[in-house]
Amino acid sequence: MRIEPLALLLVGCVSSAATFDDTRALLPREAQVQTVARRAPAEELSARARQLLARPLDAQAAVEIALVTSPALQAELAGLDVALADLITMSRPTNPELEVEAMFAREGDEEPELTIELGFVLSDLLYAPLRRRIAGEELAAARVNAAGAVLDHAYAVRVAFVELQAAQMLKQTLDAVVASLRASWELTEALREAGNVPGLDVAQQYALYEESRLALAQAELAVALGRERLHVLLGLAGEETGWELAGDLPVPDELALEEDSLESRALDRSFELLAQRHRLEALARRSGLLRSMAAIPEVHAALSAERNGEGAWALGPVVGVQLPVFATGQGPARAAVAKLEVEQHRYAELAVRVRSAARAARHRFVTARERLSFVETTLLPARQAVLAESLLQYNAMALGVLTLLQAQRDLIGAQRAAVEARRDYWLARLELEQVLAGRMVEGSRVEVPGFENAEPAGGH
Amino acid sequence: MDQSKKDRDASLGAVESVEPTDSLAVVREVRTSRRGWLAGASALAAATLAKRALAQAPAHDHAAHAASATASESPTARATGGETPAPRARRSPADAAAARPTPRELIVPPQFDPIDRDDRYVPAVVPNGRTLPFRMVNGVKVFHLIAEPVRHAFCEGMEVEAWGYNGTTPGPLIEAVEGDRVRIYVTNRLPEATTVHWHAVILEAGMDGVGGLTQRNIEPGETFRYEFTFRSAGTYMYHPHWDEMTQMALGMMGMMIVHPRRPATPRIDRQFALMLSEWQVRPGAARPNPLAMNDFNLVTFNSRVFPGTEPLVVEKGQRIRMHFGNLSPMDHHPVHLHGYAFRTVATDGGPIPPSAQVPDTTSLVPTGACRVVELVADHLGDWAMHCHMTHHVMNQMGHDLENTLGMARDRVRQLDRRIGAQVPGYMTMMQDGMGGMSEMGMPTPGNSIPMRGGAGPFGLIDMGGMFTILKVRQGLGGNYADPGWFAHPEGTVARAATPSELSADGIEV
Repeated sequence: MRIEPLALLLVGCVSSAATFDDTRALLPREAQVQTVARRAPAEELSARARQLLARPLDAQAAVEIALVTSPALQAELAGLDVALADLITMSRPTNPELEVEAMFAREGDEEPELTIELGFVLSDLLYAPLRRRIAGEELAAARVNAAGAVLDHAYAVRVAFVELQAAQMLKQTLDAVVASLRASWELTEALREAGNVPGLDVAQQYALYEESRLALAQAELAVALGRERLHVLLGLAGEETGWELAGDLPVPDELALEEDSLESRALDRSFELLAQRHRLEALARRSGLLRSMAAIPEVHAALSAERNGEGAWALGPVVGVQLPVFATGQGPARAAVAKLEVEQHRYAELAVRVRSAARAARHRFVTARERLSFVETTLLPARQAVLAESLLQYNAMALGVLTLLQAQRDLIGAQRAAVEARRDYWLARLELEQVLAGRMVEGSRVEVPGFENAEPAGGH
Repeated sequence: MDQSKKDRDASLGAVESVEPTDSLAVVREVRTSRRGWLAGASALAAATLAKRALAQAPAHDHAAHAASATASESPTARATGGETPAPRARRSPADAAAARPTPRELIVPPQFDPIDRDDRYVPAVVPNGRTLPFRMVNGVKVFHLIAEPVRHAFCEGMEVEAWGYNGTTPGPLIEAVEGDRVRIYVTNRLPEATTVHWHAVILEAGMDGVGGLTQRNIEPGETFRYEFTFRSAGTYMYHPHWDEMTQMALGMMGMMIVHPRRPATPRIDRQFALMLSEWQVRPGAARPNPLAMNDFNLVTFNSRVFPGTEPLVVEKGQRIRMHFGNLSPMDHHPVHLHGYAFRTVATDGGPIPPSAQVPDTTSLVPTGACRVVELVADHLGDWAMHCHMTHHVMNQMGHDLENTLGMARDRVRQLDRRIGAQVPGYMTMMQDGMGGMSEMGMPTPGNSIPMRGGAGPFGLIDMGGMFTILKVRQGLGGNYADPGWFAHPEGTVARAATPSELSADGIEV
């Protein structure tokens, strides 16, 4: 009779709403606020998204939209409900079995004999608390993975946003290159009209101009594809895709690196490690359960009521014990122990990878920061100086217009390098922040020539 | 004999007795010789500083290089644990040249009075230059040339690190008289070896100054002695004959005038020595480029460009001679004089017989040759004299740029807008011609004189380079300072025609 309350309690503990809230509690504060809206009615969500899309979209708003409307993220969180249902099922003891047996006499008029037996596996009641704890650990692991998926999605949105901003800025530099080469072409055209240069000079400049337009078309495609990637991550379609991008990549603010605690912070906050710990706990408990089951034979108990042909009832208990003659239960118990050992090794390996991911993210970030600083404080001024000196040489009639414009395009090249450096800075910073928030990054977006980005993904 | 004269005598003896073979000997030589020859009391310290500066410069460079070799040059080295060298202060070549001590600051220029005089001839005038002092020692005329780096101004606003003699380029004029025995000491203060070749002088082969052929080189710090007799009157030159490509491109050259023992008749009243040369110094740079073979952009009289050339001032009626010597690396110069016809009376090979002299207005002076022209200055006025190669009267003009002449005005406006948007400050040039471009006031590199002309009495004189002015005046009274612009007699200056004049002569415009 105590079975049902126990089962209800378990169900209550793992209800969908509670699971969502518990999952949300695992997230950083910013993501918590944004995921609150997910539970609002769909109409409200759409209105909020439309409101955010109506003004120039920044990274913050993009993340908010993604967390409230992204089908991908919704699917990820709905999957948590599936896991929850599975776990509820696993947490309940075996249902009692009611057996009714009627025996009709072939001769005579005796009433049929009835046998009614309500039986259940007695040992299940013994193991129920253990099963519940196992289920609790596995549910906790599922919650952690779901929270990690939220972080992953927000990270993916921020990365896509940074890359779109960079693509937009790179496209603008190509606009300037096209304008410069158009000026060169028009100059030679004017010189040819004046009779000063042959058609070859014009043709050469014209070819360069048209080549630059082709490069510009590719840059425009990169912007369009960058927007499409965001549309998928944000779950936008139709009229919702007409949003305007807000501004350029921001000038980086100071990020204090607590070098000594990077690895420990990554370890402490690692969602992968936390989930693995829950899994290990579940495995350990499962191993204990199986060992107990191997040691204690399965006991069936039943209450049997029997009515004979004369209508008299007899009531009595039935107890059965499984004799561990052939299946002793040692095999599953040993397998569980072995699996636990396997996962313990994987936990240690995962911890190594988390530490390495923290260091790698730190290397990428610091290098990207140095590179950005170098480009902005050294390379750009150097190219600006070349252009300024070229203008002086042009004024001194020691250098021609085409060479002057080439110096201007060289400056644009440095500006492109500055955009790429700023993009890589933000990508590296997002990666570092993601690792420190507890999620390893699968396939770093910060490209290192000559090095294949093959960072290990989260081990879940 | 006063004390200074004693010092001079002592210094001559010291120079003869010293053959420095090490740096200390060089300093001793500097000390002993300059005490007599140079007026500056700080010469020793200055020369020592100069020597030290020369010695330290490469050592510093090596040290810097060695330091940088141990550190990563990667701009992100700090991120990955490497060392980033301290950023070097960026300075323009002109700034760098101005910052370090110049030879002129280190070595007191030999602006001293002639030690001895030679009254057998009227000394030639060297516009923008001077004559080498000498001393008579036992009947031998003794000179001392010092080959050294010099800081040289082509005109106001344009200075370079050049090489020359006794603080100047060209080196000072050497004057002597036919039959004179001369002893010329040559001290080498250059960073490399040198020699001196006495161009066109007939002398003993061992005195001809060709490195490797007739003598060993004069190594840095050494002083060599040349001695020979000027057998013939004439106009000659001197220049290095070791790495002459570098040394002459940087200004090492000078002229020599050997006057006839029996003065020519009729008497020559006034003579000018003019060394012709050409250089390549990019606008904003501060050192001539010895690698240049074609694109020279500074063409000079006595290493000066107009408007930095001193005028040639003469009294009306004077018989004058101009001694041209051309040691340009690659070019000849047709020097044209306005207002006069002259006769070329001699080359560096000797006098031209009167029967072979022809009247001319332009004297083509080949490189490696001298021409002496003579005229009687009987036309008052300011008369231009210049190389008639048009690019030789331009200052620092480049030649590898687009010819925009004749471009349509609307096109120019369109380009100015389009390119100006990309390169603020841009302005299309030359589309209507290049006259008066120096007055456009566009910012140009420091230490440069691109397209520079000079002020004249009627506006800009739109020429530079190898251009000067012969000023013929009356009543100078022996004062040959620049008399200013010529005051033209009434009605003798070209002016705009009036409508009535045009109409009277049937001219329709």
